[in-house]
Amino acid sequence: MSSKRALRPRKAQAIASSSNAKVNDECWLLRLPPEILVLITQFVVALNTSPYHLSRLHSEPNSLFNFSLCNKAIRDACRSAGLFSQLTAPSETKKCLPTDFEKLVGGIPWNLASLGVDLSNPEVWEICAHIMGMFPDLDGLVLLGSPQKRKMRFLSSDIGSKFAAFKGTSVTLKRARFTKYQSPVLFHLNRSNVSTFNFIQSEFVCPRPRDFWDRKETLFPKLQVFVFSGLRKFDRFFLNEFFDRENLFASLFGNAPNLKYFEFTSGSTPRLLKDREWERHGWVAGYAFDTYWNMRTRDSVFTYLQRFARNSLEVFVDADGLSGPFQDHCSLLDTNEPPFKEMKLLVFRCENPEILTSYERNHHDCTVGRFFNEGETVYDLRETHSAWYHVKAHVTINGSRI
Amino acid sequence: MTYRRLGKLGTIQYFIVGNDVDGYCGIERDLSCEIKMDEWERPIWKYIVVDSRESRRIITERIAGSMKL
Repeated sequence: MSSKRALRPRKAQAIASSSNAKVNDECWLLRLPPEILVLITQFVVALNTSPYHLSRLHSEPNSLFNFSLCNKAIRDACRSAGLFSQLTAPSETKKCLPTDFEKLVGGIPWNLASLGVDLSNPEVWEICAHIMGMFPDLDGLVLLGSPQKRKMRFLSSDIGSKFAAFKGTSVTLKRARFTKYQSPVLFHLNRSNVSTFNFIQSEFVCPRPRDFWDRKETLFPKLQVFVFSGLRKFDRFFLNEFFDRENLFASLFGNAPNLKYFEFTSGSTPRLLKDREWERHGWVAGYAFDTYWNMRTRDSVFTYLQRFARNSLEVFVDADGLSGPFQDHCSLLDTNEPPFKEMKLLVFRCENPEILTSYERNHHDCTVGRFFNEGETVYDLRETHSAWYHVKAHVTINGSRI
Repeated sequence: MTYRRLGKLGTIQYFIVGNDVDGYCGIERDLSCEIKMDEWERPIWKYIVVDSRESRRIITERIAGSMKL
C-alpha cells in the first residue's frame, strides 16, 4: 500500500445546503414554494444597489440577472420579481425576429413595464413593434439613438403605428438625439397619457415648420414629473434652441400646469480659473466650456420653471451636489418673476457633511466667472465656495420670494 | 443670506438633513415670531428641533404628492 494516497476531488455541494436537507443532490432552496423564492429574489434585487436614493432614476442592478442563471426555478422566480420588466432589444446586426422573442420568454406571461427602442437601428424595429403589440398596456418607452435619415421609414413602419397607439405614462429619451427634421418622430407618439418625462443626456431641437410654431403644440400636456440630466456640452444648434426659452421648452412643453416634480442634473461642472490655464492666451467667450454650458443650462432651466411651472411645482431636486465650485446665480435674483406658489420641498445632495459646517457667511469668492487679466496669476485670487451661497440662490429663486 | 438680500425669509419652515439609511434630523422655524438681528447683524429666529421620525414624516408627506404618480 502506498503511503501517499491521491486525494479524490470532493463532490460539489449546492449553495447553503446541509447534509440533512439534501435529497438526491437537490438544493433545499429549490424545494421552497415559488412565493418564497420570489421574496428571496426581491432581496437579491436590493443587493449592490445604493440605498441612498435621491433620484427617481435608479440604476439597473445586475444581481437579478446573475441570480437567474442558477436554476430554472430561480429563473422563474426572478421573472416574477421583474427580471424582464424592462427590456431593450439588443443592438446586434442580426435582425431580431418575433420567434426569437417567443423562445426567450418561453410562453410564460409577465408584466412588461418599459421597452427600449433604438431609433438608430432599423433591425430592431420589427421586434419592438411585435413586443408593443403583445403588451398593449405598456407603460413606458425608452428611446435611444437617433432616427437620422430614416424618419419617414420609421413613421410608415409597423412600429410607427404602434407609437401612435401608445397608452403609457412614461417616456424617456436616453442618449437620444433629434434634429429639427427628426423631432416629428416624437410628436408622432401618442402622448395623451404621458405624465413622466425623463430627458437623459439627450438633444432635442424643435421643428421649425410654421405649423408647429404657430400652433405651439404642447409635447406633454399632462406632464407632472420631469427629470432632466444634461450633457457636458451640447450641439451648437441644440444650444441655441435650449437657451432660447421661447423655443425649446416653451414650444415643446409650453405651459405645464401640472408639473409638480422637477429633478435636475446639469451634466457639467463649472471650472475655476486655475483649471482653465489654456484660456490665458485665447478668447473663449470668457468662460471655460464646462462653465459656459453649466451656466446656460442652469439659467435656462430656472427661466423655464419660473415662467411655466410657478403655479404647480412642488418639488425641486438639485442632483448636482454641493461640492462646488458653483455658478453665481445672484443675477437671477433681480428678475420680477412671481414665486413658486406650491413649492413644498427643495432637495440638495451633499456627499460630505463638512461642506455644510464650513460656513463662510456671504463669501463666495471664486474664479468661476473670472477672466485672465494681464499680469495676474491664479494664485493671487481667492477660492471660497460656500455651499450655503448656492443653497441661498435656490431658496430665493424657488421658495422664498413671497 | 436670503434674509439680508430680500429682507424676508418667506414661508420656509423646515430645514432637514439626512437620508433614508442613516435617518433625518432638522429644525422647524416658528413662523409666528419675527426675525430679529443680533449684535453682529445676523438674523436670528425662534425654532424647535425636529426628531428623526417627524423629519421623515415631513419629507414623505411633502414628496408624496408628486411621487405617487
